[in-house]
Amino acid sequence: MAGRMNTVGGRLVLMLLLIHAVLMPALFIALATVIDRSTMNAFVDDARIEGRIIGDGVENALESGDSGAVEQLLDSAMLSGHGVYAALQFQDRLVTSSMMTSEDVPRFEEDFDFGEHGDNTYYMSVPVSHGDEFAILRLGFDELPTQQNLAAVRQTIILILVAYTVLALVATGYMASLVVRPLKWLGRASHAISRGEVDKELKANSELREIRELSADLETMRSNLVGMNARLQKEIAEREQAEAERRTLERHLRHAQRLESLGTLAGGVAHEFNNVLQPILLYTDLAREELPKDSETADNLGKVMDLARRAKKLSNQILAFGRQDIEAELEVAELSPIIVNALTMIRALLPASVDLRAEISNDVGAVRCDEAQIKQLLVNLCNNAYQALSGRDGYINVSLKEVIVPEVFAAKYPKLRAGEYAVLEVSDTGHGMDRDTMERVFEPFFTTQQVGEGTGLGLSVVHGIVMRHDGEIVLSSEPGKGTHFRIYLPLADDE
Amino acid sequence: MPGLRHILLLTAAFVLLPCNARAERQVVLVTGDSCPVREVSSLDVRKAYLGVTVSVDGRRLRPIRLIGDEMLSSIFYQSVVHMSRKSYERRALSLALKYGTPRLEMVDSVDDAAQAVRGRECGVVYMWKDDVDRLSGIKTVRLLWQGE
Repeated sequence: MAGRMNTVGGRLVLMLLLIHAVLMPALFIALATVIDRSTMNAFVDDARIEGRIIGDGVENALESGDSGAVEQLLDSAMLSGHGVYAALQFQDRLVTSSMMTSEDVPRFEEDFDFGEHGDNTYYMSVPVSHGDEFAILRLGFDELPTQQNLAAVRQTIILILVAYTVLALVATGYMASLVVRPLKWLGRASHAISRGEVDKELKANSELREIRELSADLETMRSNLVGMNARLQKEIAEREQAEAERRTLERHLRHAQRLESLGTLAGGVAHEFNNVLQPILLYTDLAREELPKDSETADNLGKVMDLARRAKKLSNQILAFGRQDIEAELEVAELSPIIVNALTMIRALLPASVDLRAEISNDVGAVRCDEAQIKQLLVNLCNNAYQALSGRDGYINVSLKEVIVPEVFAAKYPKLRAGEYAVLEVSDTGHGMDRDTMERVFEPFFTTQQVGEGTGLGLSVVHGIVMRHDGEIVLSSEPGKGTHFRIYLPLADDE
Repeated sequence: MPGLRHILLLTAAFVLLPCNARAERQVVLVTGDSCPVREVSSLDVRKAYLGVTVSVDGRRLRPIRLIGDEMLSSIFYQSVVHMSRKSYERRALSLALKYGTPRLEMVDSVDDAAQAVRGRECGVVYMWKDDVDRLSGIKTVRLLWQGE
């Protein structure tokens, strides 16, 4: 109950009830008093006028000596209006209306106001003279019908006031609902917004200006809130993306630095190793020339030289990874003929069962490159793809195209800059790589193959070549879904 | 309560007045001894107090109202002008506004009333018969009311 009273509707109804509880009795008393006084006054006036008329008639009848007329006038006083008493009091006798018996004659107590003496009769006397004699006409009028009328009027007033109160309550309830309904709607909408349903529009359908203005203000606040929320979410997303890009770049940087350190170390070892191999090859060759060609020792020295050459080849590959084999200058050249030429050679090297697909664009701009190293790069990548395909159905796809690297993408990789690049892509549908393998795949001597099946230098050489060409390698792979190498090589300037 | 005042007045009158006076009280219309008018009809009294010019025996009546006695006033309204107080006051005001009829002269006490009728030619005023008996220079020209 208390909760119901603490609503707008409850308060309005309560206030109305309180106002009516004070006003209605006062209004009833005022109305009843006015009507009572007016009715009583009219009754008194009527009685006095009637008394005067009858008194004049009696005076005339007495002057003419017509006693029958006097009795008739007294009877007419009883018959007209609410007459209940009519008598003429002479000095020595009382003449009453023939309609009154001696038992009916009540005690006469003159009234000067309605309702006086509480006998329900308004008694009045009118002096009548004839000649030297003086008589008093005494009349009585029944007050009861007027009192009943007044009681009926009071009841009617009460009914009207009660009906008015009920109507006022209904109207107040209706008005309260006009105010409360849109407010409740706004409340529900606000509640929904507080739960996060910010798209719910705060637009109350009301004819009341104040409610409409409140609704419009709330809707403006909601719109601002939604806009602010969207901006905040966008900023958060942008920051998260920037953070992710920063972490990716850091990872790539760490990876590149590790490979570079590794390359420097391996390159240094390979260089020293080459310095040792070179005299071994020289002195072994000189020693073999001293021996007969068909001797067993010469044959053994030949094997030593083969192994030394193989070791030199390995050390050269390590040098290529560490980019310390800078022998030839980079030259501006079209990539597509180089790639096509290399693919012809690769097709001859690979088994016929391998599906090698190529999509080479002729519209790719020139790059500054070493043709031999580019070919070496493609051979190594295709060889890696072929090994990934071993024992599985699938294909190797090689493509060359020109792209414009956007700033956002370039920011993820330390070697990339926004601008035009030639992109050489080598993908396969082989067994793919997990994340750990991808992290180490460019390290020298890292291999997932059996011992003796690979040196683990192929992709290291690829990395070295790409770095020497100021390019970038983007590797994507998933176990079971193949591997995708994208080599970005910057296009040469027009001059 | 409209009748309470009258009841109190009547009670006071019963207590204060002697027994023979309580038995029969009269209200009469009086004029000065100098006025030659001997009797005035009830119709003329009524007309005079309603503001109509009334002449009796060639003399114009000059009505005066005694308003100090409430009981007397009630008898005046009921048995002299035969109107309620409200209707009479309204009627008097209406005549004053409509025709410029001067309002009746009013006095508060019986002595003032007696002095007024003595001082004016054919001035008339209503008062208790008992008061007339003790005052000089005035005479009764009409019995207006009689009651217990």
